[in-house]
Amino acid sequence: MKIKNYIVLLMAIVACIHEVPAQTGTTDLTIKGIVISAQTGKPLAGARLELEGDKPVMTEENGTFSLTIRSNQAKVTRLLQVTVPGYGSKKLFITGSKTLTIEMNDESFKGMEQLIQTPFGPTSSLFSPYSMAAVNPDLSATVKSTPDGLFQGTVAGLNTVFRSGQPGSGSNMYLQGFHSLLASSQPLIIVDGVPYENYGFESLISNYQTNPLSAIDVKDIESVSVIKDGSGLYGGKGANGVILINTISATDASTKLEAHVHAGMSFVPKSVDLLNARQYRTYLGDLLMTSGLTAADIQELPYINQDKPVSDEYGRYTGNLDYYRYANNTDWQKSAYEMAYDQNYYLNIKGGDQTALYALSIGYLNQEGILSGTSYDRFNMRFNSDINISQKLNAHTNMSFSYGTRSLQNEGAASSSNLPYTALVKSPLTAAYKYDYQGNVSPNLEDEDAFGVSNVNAIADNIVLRNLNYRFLGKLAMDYTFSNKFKLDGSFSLHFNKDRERIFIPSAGIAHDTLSNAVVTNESQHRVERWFILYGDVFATYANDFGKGSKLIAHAGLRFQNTQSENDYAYSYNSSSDDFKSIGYGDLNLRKIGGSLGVQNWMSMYANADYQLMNKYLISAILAADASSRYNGLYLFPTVSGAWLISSESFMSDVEQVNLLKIRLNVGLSGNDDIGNYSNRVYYTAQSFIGNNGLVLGGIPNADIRPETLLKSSIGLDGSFMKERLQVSIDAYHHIINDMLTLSHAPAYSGFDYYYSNGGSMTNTGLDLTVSGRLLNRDVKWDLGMTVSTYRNEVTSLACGTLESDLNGAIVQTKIGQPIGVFYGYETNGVYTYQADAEAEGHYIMQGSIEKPFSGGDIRFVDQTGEGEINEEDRVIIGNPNPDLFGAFMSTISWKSFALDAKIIYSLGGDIFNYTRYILESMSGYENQSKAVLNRWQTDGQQTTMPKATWGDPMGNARFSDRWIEDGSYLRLKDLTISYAFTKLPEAIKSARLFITGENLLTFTNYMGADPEFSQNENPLYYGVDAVICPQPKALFFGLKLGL
Amino acid sequence: MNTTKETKHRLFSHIRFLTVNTLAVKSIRILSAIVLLSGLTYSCIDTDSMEVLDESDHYRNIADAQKSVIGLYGKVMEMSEQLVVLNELHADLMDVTTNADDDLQAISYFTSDEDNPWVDPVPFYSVIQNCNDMLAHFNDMLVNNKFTEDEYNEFYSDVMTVRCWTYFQIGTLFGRIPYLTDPITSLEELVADESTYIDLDQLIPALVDSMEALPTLDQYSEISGMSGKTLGNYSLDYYFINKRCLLAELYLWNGQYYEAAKTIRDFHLEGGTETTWKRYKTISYVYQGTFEGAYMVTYTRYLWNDINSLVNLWVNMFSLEMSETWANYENINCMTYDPSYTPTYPFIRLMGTEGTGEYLLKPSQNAIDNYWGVQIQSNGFTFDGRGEGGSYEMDEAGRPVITKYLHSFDANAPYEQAGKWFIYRAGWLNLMYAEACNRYAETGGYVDGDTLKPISDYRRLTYAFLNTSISSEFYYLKPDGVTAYPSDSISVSSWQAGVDYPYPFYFDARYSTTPYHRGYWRDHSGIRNRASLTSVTYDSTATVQPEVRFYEKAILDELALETAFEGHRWRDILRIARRWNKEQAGTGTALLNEVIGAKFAENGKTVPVFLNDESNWYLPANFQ
Repeated sequence: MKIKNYIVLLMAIVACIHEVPAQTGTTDLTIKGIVISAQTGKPLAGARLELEGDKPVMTEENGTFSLTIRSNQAKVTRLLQVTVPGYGSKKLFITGSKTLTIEMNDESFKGMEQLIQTPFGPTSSLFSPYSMAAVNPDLSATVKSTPDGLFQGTVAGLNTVFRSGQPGSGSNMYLQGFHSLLASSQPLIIVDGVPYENYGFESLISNYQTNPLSAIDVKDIESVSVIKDGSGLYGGKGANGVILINTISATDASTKLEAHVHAGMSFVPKSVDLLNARQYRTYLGDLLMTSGLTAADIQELPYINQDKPVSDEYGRYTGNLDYYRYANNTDWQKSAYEMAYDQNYYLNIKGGDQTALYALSIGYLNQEGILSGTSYDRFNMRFNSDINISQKLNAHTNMSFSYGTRSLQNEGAASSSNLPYTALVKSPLTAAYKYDYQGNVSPNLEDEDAFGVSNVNAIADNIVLRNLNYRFLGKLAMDYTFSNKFKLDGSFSLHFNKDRERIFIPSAGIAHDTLSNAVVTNESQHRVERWFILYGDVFATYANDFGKGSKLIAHAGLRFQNTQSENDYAYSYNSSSDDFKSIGYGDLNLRKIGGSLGVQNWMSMYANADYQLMNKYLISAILAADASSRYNGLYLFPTVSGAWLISSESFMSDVEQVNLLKIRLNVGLSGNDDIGNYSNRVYYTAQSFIGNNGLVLGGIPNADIRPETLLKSSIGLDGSFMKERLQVSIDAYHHIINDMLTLSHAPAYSGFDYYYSNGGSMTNTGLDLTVSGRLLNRDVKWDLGMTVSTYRNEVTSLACGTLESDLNGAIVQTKIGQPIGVFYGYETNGVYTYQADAEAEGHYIMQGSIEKPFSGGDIRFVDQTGEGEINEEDRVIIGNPNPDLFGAFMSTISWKSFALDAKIIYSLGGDIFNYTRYILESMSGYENQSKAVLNRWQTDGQQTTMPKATWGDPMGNARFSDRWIEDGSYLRLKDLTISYAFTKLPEAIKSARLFITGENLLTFTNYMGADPEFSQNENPLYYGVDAVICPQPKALFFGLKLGL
Repeated sequence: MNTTKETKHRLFSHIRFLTVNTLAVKSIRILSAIVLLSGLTYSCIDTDSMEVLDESDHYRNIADAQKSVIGLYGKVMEMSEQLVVLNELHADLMDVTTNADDDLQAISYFTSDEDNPWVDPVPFYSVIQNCNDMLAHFNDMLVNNKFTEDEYNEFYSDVMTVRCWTYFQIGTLFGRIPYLTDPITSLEELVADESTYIDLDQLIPALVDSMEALPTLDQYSEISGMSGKTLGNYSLDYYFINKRCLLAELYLWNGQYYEAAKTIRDFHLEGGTETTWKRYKTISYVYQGTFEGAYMVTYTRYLWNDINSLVNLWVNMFSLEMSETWANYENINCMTYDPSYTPTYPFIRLMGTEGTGEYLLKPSQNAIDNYWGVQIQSNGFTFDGRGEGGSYEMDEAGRPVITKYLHSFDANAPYEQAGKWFIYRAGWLNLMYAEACNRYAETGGYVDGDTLKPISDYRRLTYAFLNTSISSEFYYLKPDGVTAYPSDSISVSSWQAGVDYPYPFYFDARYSTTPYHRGYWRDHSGIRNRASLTSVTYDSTATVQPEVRFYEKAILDELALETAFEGHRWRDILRIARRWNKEQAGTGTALLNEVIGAKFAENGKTVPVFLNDESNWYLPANFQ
């Protein structure tokens, strides 16, 4: 067993280093030194030095100090903490005697120690054997509307990809690769100790997902930590990693007020270079010639015929009556995108008295989207308090409420009401408003055009796609301290979320799809989704300090969660007027309603122990035992971790340039219980029978269904060098995901096609690197940081066999030995320049029983099997959407009152399926095309890479092939902020800071689509499938933050 | 929410020490403590499912049983598309249009492989597995007193009938099938077991046994709460598969002809005695062409020789609403699909030319030319009202369109998919009776050893049911030897005056004024007579010999004319072909070649090779 080997190895290491050096001598030792400022080199008086276990001493006027160490402690590694007001604090490991020069930095300096939030409270990063990352964002100038923006790039291994450029759309996050095929891949989010459900819920609005994080105002966040190792503490819910978010709290009783206001604008993205009216008409004429129509037929078409209507003496019109309707040159993208404005107001108050502290915040956000008709409004409130009931008993409350309203547009693959898609494909010949026979324009919107495409202006102005989100979280926690060794914590919380969606698609100007039983004139849809979660957590803490740098902290506890969800939806069609938008006005016979209810209970017993020996050796263990209504039985999730602080060893005490060197080892098991609420049972679902519902078997029960497990082994190194000016952290990990949920093929005699089983496994191997340092440390301070992450994902078993998924025309394949979801399609080799070339090669496709040969101007597909026929057998892997490397660069430069912050994110080597280009270059129908098709093959011998235009594309030139796969590498200046802190302030104002922030100002990429940064769906299979998603706009914000 | 011993036991049996080898011995004690603790709290973990119904919350009372039956019939309705296509397109009367894709083509020309979606067995086994689950639960309910014996009898019998009917359908289509009678309760039961596969020769007796063992062959009564139940506008009685009709057909397959005849007669008398002269009598009682309950092809009174006076009432049986009072004169089982609800009616897409119609299926030219096209009306016209204008019509583009399924199509609401799925009706049943009598008559000998009552005489009933009527076949002759006038004639199935055929071969078709008597079968009509066609009569020069086979072939042809496209055709051909092969090897294969081959010949295609080896007669399917 691998785990066993790791444990033995760890034991051996601990045993080797465990020799306590023999005591020598009996004289007390003295440590002398000086504390100076790193920036100026001047000595600092009044610095407080506290050697672990001793009384603190202060530095003299000249900054010098002297510490006495008793002889029996001479060889013990001890922790020295230095605190200087205005300079923050610093820790050093001391062994033996020596002369020290301690350089103190300003408070913004990030040294080797960070405070990291754990489920049990904050802890020092120095003594944690786990890989955890703290995101302690400088929120003084943030303009992010959702917290996802904070994580992006800053945590190595956390691949945060924004879903779309629509306002408040949030991101999909994958921590250290993909962990599941069918279950959730998203990290567990814990806000103030309460788990947030972070599944992407189905929405009526195409490509939209509720983002649970959007209920949190970024400015309410006090600290974030990302738990990479040790997520086994959350048992069957921890496999995707854990993100802990703590919100505002007051640290002292003085009343503080903080106000933040910003306003901004987002700019219309660069439009796609499409055919203009003249080019489109020529193209269409060419295309229609291949459809079997004669030149005369084509000439009669209302959008080709150029005979203006003329009136005779009786006022009767002859000629092409639709001439003016199709005699335009409209740039529809102009109607789809518009400049957008944002505003945000935020106020928080902190204060209290000796018995109670409180923090209160209130915020309002109004964000417009660059897609016409989109916006996001949010009102949020939070009230947190800490109450000292007695010296031993404390109470804490958290309450937050958020109300968000979104007006959205459908995105994604083709649909008649999809704004960005329609703006691309709608013919430039058409007009937004109606024309009469004389060419006079009317104020009325034009209807669906002759090509069956909706009016872009009608979609932009009249479609209602609204999402309302209410979220309430209330928590009461108590803790009781029995002694300095024992403490008991308990909390109970209630979490409520409601999403209400309302859709109305009017008849005017919109092309509707037909139902199976009716022609649709207009549609209204409604959906309500509710989540109600009760959560309780009780744990006991035992802490003991044995002296000489040895400590034990252990916890044991129990969590219980009851989740109730409800989803109700209704579709209604054909109300008598576009003004009757409510669901109740539709045709009774066409109404469809449905919904579902779900319940889940989860209970987890957990225990952990952290043991620290002589400030050198750290060992930690976690065990969680989970039971859930989703599966039968009890599952155990153990984790063992160890670390060796090499820098604390006496032999390192003279190596001045190394301040910290820590090696970490971790082996742990965690689970993913997103396996469906009822897969383990015999259950019945509704079956319709002439309008009544009966009950039928719902699936093949799999009593053995169990959570997916992730066995993680990792090795890490944390180092701090050159007086803590350079920090390095490396993590190498190997994940073995077992019992991965798959749909297995059921024998036909079972009456079902598939059943759920734990039939898959895969591995992730990766490396995360974080480097940060202070490059300049004088008047100008420059902090530069960098994260680099890479992973390799490989499917190792798949009970259901090779999977092929069709996602917006992309075929992604999941197969043993490959990463999940690679692009699987045809390889191409240019275009047949000559008809003779095509004939010589002799490739063909089968249409029924007829062989159809390729001809000049067709795409030259590579015949992998060599049998002449181009068919599914000839498909190969044509791309891998997984990036080779991703991460970010972060830079902060400050000079006097000015600061310049920048974040550059990058992703290298991932492939993208460019659906937009696939639509705009397929040359098979009425859709408008990009200018690239001007170069299409038209005559024998023409050298080009663009095939000929053929109606309906009978040869499949536009089929899913490497033509549409592009390198999705990019480097993007995500954020750039310049801020100025006022120094001369009126008495009432404690601080004031003015800032300008730019988002997405620069992007370097060869990707031809609108934006290489997108994420259509949280399911990893969708990674790299770009189907007409609103790009993330360039934006500029101006803001002011006041402290009172 | 209980902590019974059983629950705890279940808990312990499922504990998995995932990484037990990484844990020290000391930890085991901690683990045990955790396990004990969880034992106490485990019961709180169970949830009541709300989105779906947990097994423990189902089958508690009769209302649950009703819900299951309703769900089951929803599933049954989902089989209609496949069953009609497989039984008809995979035969001689239906053909594909040029719009049809490769999959349908393959069914039509016997080239299908097991990947063809039309031969996917999942929808059938979905019904079967639901039946298995229901039957097992009904047994539990009876044992646990959640059912009375009477309630159990009705529900159990109905569900068992649905299962037998489904098995019968797929057995005759696929030949060799897995025969499973217990519900699947765990994944372990999904292991392929060759021993569960049986072929048709084993399946038919097994189904007969199951049906004979039913506690009742009657339909639901008030006891179950299902009889007379209506959902929306639809009476459910038409949906429940008729047990006696199924059993009678199974008997015919099993060579039990007397039992088949008896079961059909029992069906006629279902509910006690015959209470109406209309129901299932395929009556020919119409004067002015106005009585819609008589499904005749006839002519206006006194204008019998004028083709323009043709009145096709036969087609009404497909077009009328099932709520009409005379719907039950003909219809036994007929499932109506409502356009507003699922399951959606599939046949408009397949056969229709407007709205959602894709016009994929059409009548074969063979059916048009060689069946309906050669029938001679009693007035001499070459014509069959059950063909053009009955089963199909020519559209404006001159294409033949199967209209049996399109009567509810409304051009004003072209996307509404409403219609009916015809399963059992009197026209079909009475031909089954004719078939049973024909074969039973062949057994020869005498009833009760009485030489006055030769069993071979029952073939007169075959003739009466196929051709004319009981009253015209069984005249009572006055002692003077002169045929009585119709007004006081007495017709009854009998050997001679005063000597009735014994049950189940006796039909009272008497009609006399003095003494006044009206027998219930007085207006019975043979199937051909109802369509105003001349009789088919055996003579020694006929191409099909002997007489029993002559009439059998005549019945097979009549079934084509009468029940084309209704999902019986492949089964009917197969039944006769198998019977003939068993009688004399090769004759059934020849019949199959002749009947099926006609469609291939029309299309210039090679007739598939039907060897005497039955295994290549059936559709391939993958049950794994």
